[in-house]
Parts: sequence; structure tokens; C-alpha cells
Amino acid sequence: MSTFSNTPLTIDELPKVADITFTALDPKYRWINLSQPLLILAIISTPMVILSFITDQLSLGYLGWGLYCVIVLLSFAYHYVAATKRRYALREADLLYQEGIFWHTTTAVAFNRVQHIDLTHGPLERKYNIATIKCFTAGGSSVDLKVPGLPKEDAEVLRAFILSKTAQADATTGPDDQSDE
Amino acid sequence: MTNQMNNNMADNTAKPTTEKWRRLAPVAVIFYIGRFLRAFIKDGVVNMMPLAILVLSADSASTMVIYIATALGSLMVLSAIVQYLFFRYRLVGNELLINEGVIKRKHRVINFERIQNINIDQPFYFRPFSLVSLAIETAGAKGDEGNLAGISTVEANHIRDQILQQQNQLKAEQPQTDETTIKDAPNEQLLTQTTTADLVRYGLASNSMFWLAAVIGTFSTQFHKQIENWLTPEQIEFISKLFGDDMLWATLVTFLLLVAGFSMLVLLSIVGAIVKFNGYQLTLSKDTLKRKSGLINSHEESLNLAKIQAIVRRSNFISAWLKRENLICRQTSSGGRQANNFLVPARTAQQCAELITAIAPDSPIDVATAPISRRYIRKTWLLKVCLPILLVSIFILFLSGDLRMLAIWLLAPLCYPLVVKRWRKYRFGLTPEHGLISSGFIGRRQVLFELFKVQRVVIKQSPVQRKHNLATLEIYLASGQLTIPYMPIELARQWFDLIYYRTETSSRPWF
Repeated sequence: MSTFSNTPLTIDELPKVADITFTALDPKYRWINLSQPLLILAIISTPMVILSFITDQLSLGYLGWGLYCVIVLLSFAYHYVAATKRRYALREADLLYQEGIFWHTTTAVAFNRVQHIDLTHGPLERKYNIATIKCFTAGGSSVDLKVPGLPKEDAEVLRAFILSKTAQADATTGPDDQSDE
Repeated sequence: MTNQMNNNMADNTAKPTTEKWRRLAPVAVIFYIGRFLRAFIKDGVVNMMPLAILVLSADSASTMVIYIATALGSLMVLSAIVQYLFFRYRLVGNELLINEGVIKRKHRVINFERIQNINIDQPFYFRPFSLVSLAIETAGAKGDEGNLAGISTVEANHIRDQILQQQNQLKAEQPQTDETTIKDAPNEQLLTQTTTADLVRYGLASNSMFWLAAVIGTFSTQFHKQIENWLTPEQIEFISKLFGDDMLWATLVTFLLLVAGFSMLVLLSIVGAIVKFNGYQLTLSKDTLKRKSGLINSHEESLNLAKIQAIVRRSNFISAWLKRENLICRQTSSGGRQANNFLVPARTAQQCAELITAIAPDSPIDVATAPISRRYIRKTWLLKVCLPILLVSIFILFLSGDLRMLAIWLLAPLCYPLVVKRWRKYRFGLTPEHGLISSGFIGRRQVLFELFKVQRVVIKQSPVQRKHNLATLEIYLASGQLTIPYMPIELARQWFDLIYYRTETSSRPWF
């Protein structure tokens, strides 16, 4: 392993985040990602429809309903496009993730900082054989990196790969009992 | 009672120290009574409400109170004695075993490796017996994990040394060709100590909100009204009888009351500082920082240097005026728990710099820092000043329709210089091994951290930032989050690349 050194580093020699080609998520994920606004739509629309058409207590008028439909469509469009903007990249020692339509964010998790990994799949994800991988480190209290929309087999391979890397790192830094559960 | 005697973990390399299960000193009973009382006052009182009904409905309330008090008192003493009787501890290899509990037996195994802090306290009632209480904090546990209350000073020191020695041994076993510690300093090396004058300064500065309240309070007429509301008419009459009902006198009295109240608070803050930090001594022996302090209860805390995640120099406007800073060694804060931060109070800039060199010998002495983009000013002003004012004014207009209230917009230009000031205090610097971020408003906060200890980095870009090649960098350490807003995107990527390079190529443990 590389030992401690203090030679002045030229930043150009480092692997650059700007050069990485990111992998898009499974195309099916774009549609799965619509389940969330769909659910909200169902929760909000049901009482609205009941109130205005059955009990006549709410009158939105054509303009109101039109506006409502536009908002709903925009929300669907947003979730669809947002899904296309989510990408990940795997390097030898870390996993990177990028997302955002307007606000772009890029982050990474180094395997030798991973505390544990979760692999989750909701009912809809299960149907389409898709999984979400979540990595946790000691910084911050919630998920540090979450890659959704991975084909299930890929996600499992990825998890095994990261865990093996984490175990390797632990072996070199001494016994650490926190790696897997 | 304890049938765990056959623990085959006994490590022969360690000195045979505490082979058998041991008990605390009987004085520990007082400690348990104290703990019981504290817990009782904290949450027990509420649960005792049904008893109040019992008291009120009794024929003779006072006899009932005596009965209940006696019952509770004897319960307390009894439970303390039983707790003492059932508490056993033992050192085996590199583990501390603790058995305690009466109804619910608890067997605890604390591995030395997981220990983050060892605190040695001496409550005043332990002093005559030269006993101490040794509290052990581990990463991931809330509060103390183990507390040996009532062991001799010699034994406490022995246990502590053994834990630290083991930790150092473990570290030495790791593949690390280069020892980053100071050349074998044989014994403890005194790094710094405080004088009472320092502590007075610390006390003055530590509750800066008082000062702010005082300044705002004296100048706001609202506050005078508040005082008038607060005093009853009789009191006002009494005061006016005393001084005559001259308006001047009334104002003066109000002012004096305020000053008196405020001085009380400041005095309390100073007394608090002295009680907590009297005789503060910071020593370094090999890899361990040790702090001793305390007027009534003496407190000793040890920290392994490798566990420091970041070193912070912090001053607020009062301490800046007094030319003092606090130095804080930040540790892992897990599970939302605020880490027990190792604080060195009221140091001068020079002392701070020397301390950092002593604690972290390879930290850079002078880091070239760069400012963040001026666009930060506009964005902060618009978003943090103008937007709230806009919302408030819409709200007010909606409610009252009084156009005079729009005068709050005068705040907007007034706040601008403050935003500029905040922008000016934001600076960041990167060296091959370290990062330095300083920020502040009226005071200053400077964080120095080793790059390889970083857990995660995020680069964020808003549309405006993208247009101007800027980005916001978020750095997550195990001790908390740091942010550099509005830095050039190339620099943000440099930080990102270098930090991941350092974390991924370093085999040193970050914790």
C-alpha cells in the first residue's frame, strides 16, 4: 500500500471526477419513479373528486381543473426527467452518484469508509426486478449514497463487490467489528 | 452470585492486574444515591403526581408527607446499597467486564478498542477517601457505557494507562511505517494551563447571548414596557414612593434593575467557568491528551490523538475583543449525540497555534487561503434578508394594511454590510494532507482537518452557480458537516479528487 508521503502533488496526477463517464439507471426505473407522484395524486384527487362531483361542496370550475391537471402533468414530467438525470459510476475504490435537473449534485462513497450497505426493493421494484442500493458511512446520520433503479442482479453483484472491498480495507487497518451485519 | 468466573479470555501478555471480580469502595453508595436523586428530579417527579393526590386526600397531610418521604428515602438508600453490592468489574486481556443490576442482570463487555473517552472524576465526597470515578464512553453509546464509581486513584490511573497502552499497541501493529507521534516523549508533557484571569475571560465570553440581550434590551423601549408589565402596580407605587414619581427616576431604576440582573447572569457564567475549569491543565503523554480541571469536583479526561476528527479554533465577538480563542478537538458524534468535545478555554492566538503544533505535529503552520465568490453576497442578501422581509411585509399588509410597517424594508440595506462581513470571513485552503475552512460572522470559526478522515464529499451546483462556474462543497466528517459555499468549480473538483485520493490510499484508521 502507499505509505505516508509528503511530496508536492500535482492535482493533475489524481484521478479526476470530471473525467468519469457515468452509467445511466435502468430505463424501467423512470416509470417506477412515477409511482410516488401517482400515490400523492391518488391521495389528493380522491377527496377532491368526491367533494366536487358527488357532494358538490367544492367548485373549481374549468380553469381550476385545468390548472390542476397542468400541475399534475408537470409533476409527472419532473419525476420522469429527474430519473433520467440520475447516474452512477463505479471506480476501483469508490462509488459515485450524480443527480439533479436544476441543482446538480455529485457525491461518492469510498469503500474503506462504508459502515454498512442496504439493498432494498419495494413491491413495484420487485415486480420489475429492480433494486436500490444504500451506503452508509460515519459522516451524517442518514443514507450517504443511494443508487436506485439498478437491475436486481447488478445490485447484488455491486453489494458483494463493495463488501469485499470494505472487508479488505478493514483487514489492513486492523480488526474492526462493524463491517457487516 | 457471579458464576462467570471461568472466563477463558485471560490474555497472558497483559500484566495480571485485576484477575478477580472486584467491588467498588463502599462510599460508592453515596454516588448511587446522588445518581438516584438526579434521575428522580429529572423524570421521577412527574411520575410522583399520583402521590400528591394521596397526600391531599389524607386526613393529615403532613404525616402523609413524612411517611412518603421516609419510604422513598429508605427505598433510595436500600437500592443504592443493593446496587453497590451487585456491582462487580474485572479487567481481562483487553476487555473490561462489568456485571451489575439486581432484577435485570447486566453483563457488559467493553473492548478497549471501542473506548473513545476515559473520564476520571472526583466528586467532593470521594475526596477524603482519595477515591475517584472512572467513566468510559464508547463510540455509538449514549452517555456513559461503564462507570466505575468509587475506585482508588491509583487503580483508576492503572486502568486508564492499560487501556491507552493497549490502544497504542493496536495502532502500532497496523501497517504504518511512519510514526506520526512526537519523538518518544518519556512522560507527560505539560502543554498548557489556565490562570483564573483566563477563566474569567472565558466566563465573560461563553454566554454571549446575554450581552446581545443586554445591548438590545437597554435600547428597546419594548423592554421598558415589559418591565412595567412585569412589576405589579403596588411595586411600581412602592418604587415611585421611594424615588418620587419622576419619569427620570423611573427610567433610572429600570435601567439599574436591568444592569443588576445582567451582572448576575455574567457573574454566574464566570463562576460556572471557574467551577468547571479551575486549575485546567492539558498534558500530552505519547499519544494521549489529558485534561485535568475542576474546583469542587475534579475532572480528568483523556483522549487518544488518533480519535480527533477536526481541530476547531473558535471565538465570538467578546472573546475576539478579549483576544482569546477556544480550541476544540472534535470527536465522532454518532447517533445524533453531541460528542463530548475536548475544549481548551481562552487561549491567545499564539497559544492556539502552538497547541495545534503539539497535538497534530504534521499540520501545516500557514495555510494559504482563498476567498469565496462575491456572488455569495448577493445570493445571501436576497435569500436570507430580502425574502423573509418580503414575506413579513406581505403578511403585515394583509393583516393591518398599515403602510408605515413597510419601514422594515430599511433593514435590507442595513443588513447588507453584515452579509459582506460574513462573506469576507469565509476562506478555505487546501494542503496536500489537510483542509482548512474558516467562517464566521462577528466571531470566527476555523476548522482544520486531515483529508483522509473525511467520510464523504458532495459537490452541489445551482443553475446560477453553473452559469458562473461556481459550486458549493459539502464535506462530511464523522464529527459533523462543513460547507464551502460559492467556490470556483475547478477548486471544488480539486478538493473532491484530493480528498478521495487521500481516503482511498490511506491505510491509517480514521477512528
